[in-house]
Amino acid sequence: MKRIVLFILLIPNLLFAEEELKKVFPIYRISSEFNKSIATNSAVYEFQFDTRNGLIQEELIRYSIDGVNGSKVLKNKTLTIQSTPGKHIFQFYYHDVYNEVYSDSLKIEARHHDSYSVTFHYARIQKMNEKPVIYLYPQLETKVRVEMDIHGDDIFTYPQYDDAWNFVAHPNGDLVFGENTYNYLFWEASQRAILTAKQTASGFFVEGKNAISFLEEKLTQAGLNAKEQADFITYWGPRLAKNELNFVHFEFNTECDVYANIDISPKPDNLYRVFIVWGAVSERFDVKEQEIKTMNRSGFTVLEWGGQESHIQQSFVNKNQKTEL
Amino acid sequence: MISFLEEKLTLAGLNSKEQADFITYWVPRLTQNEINFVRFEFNEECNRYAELEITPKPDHLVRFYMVWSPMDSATQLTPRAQQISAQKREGFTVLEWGGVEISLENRLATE
Repeated sequence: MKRIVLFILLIPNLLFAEEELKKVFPIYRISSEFNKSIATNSAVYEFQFDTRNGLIQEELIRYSIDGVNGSKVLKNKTLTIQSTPGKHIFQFYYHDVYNEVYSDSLKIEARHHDSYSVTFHYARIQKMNEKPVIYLYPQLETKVRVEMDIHGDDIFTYPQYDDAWNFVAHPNGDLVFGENTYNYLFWEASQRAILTAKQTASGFFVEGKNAISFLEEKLTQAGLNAKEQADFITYWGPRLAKNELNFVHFEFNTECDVYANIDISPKPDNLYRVFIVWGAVSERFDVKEQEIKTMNRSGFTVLEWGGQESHIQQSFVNKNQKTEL
Repeated sequence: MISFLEEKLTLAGLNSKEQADFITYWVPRLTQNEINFVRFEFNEECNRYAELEITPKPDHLVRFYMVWSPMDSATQLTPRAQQISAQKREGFTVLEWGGVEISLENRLATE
């Protein structure tokens, strides 16, 4: 049996500038000092917090030490925890838009005061616009060019996209690229994702256990056929089903331009775009039930569906809801 | 990543539609890592995930799972290149594909 040994490197400051260190290590030790005023069976950890964009307020920070939770208001961006000598594991949570920081086991000697730098990184704010897929159903075999202007980073497309996708579309939905035939065009990109007040004002609450029947009902209303629904549901269903409760909001047609603009020639008779924007929530808030737009499938029809798992900040939602009233 | 999978899936005999489903599902997940360790499992090897019974019995049941682990360049591992054999598709053919992400540590501990 092989074992992988992971080393925690405490690289001296000489090698890296402080900013560089913070970029690489969310948590690292700055100093360790013997302090005779600390009792023999005691030790003190000091954590100095920062964020990648330097915005740290004197706020409550939630932490856990060896799995036991606590919270404290920061003083000078610093949290001091008295503990026992030995090894301890910490977690820090500062704000919804930053990742939690997990420490490895941090060893401290008796009567020592160890200082650590802890840096919170933005992460949850950047979400993938996932699996938008585009189906095309011309009335006759047609040479089609699809140009996308995707708003976001880390763009992934399939089949490969250079200046455009060029292919022959068939009435049965087959998209022929030379020797290869596909059912759909695929793209994905990451983008900032926090639901706006407009988005959280209307939608649905969906319990995980009802996710499949909910999606079937809404997608049938939207006019997706069984194959398209299966693609959608096998992608999103298991993800929604994992949560006890989800908030779901749909975006239609030009509302989806915030994710990407799409230009198709020849121009289809009907282009229908639907994105599901959703996230886990702990409780229901006031929303208007959303009306589902139905697609028109006459003539040369193009369907695009996609979605985004959003981080829904309950406090943020409620605040916005109030200002809207 | 894309060309790697296209090559292996073509060897295994998946057609372009099936490849697109596979690639669009897995590639965005794998490209989040600097490097991945990938191994494919075929047919009865996949019984450990789920057993599958189909009536009438298909002439060919092809099961194809990708087991993958994120790695970083610091990890030393020198796997033997896996041989991918073409799967027969004549007659009533059933194809199942899937995948599992497993941490390298867990994997080395269990394999």
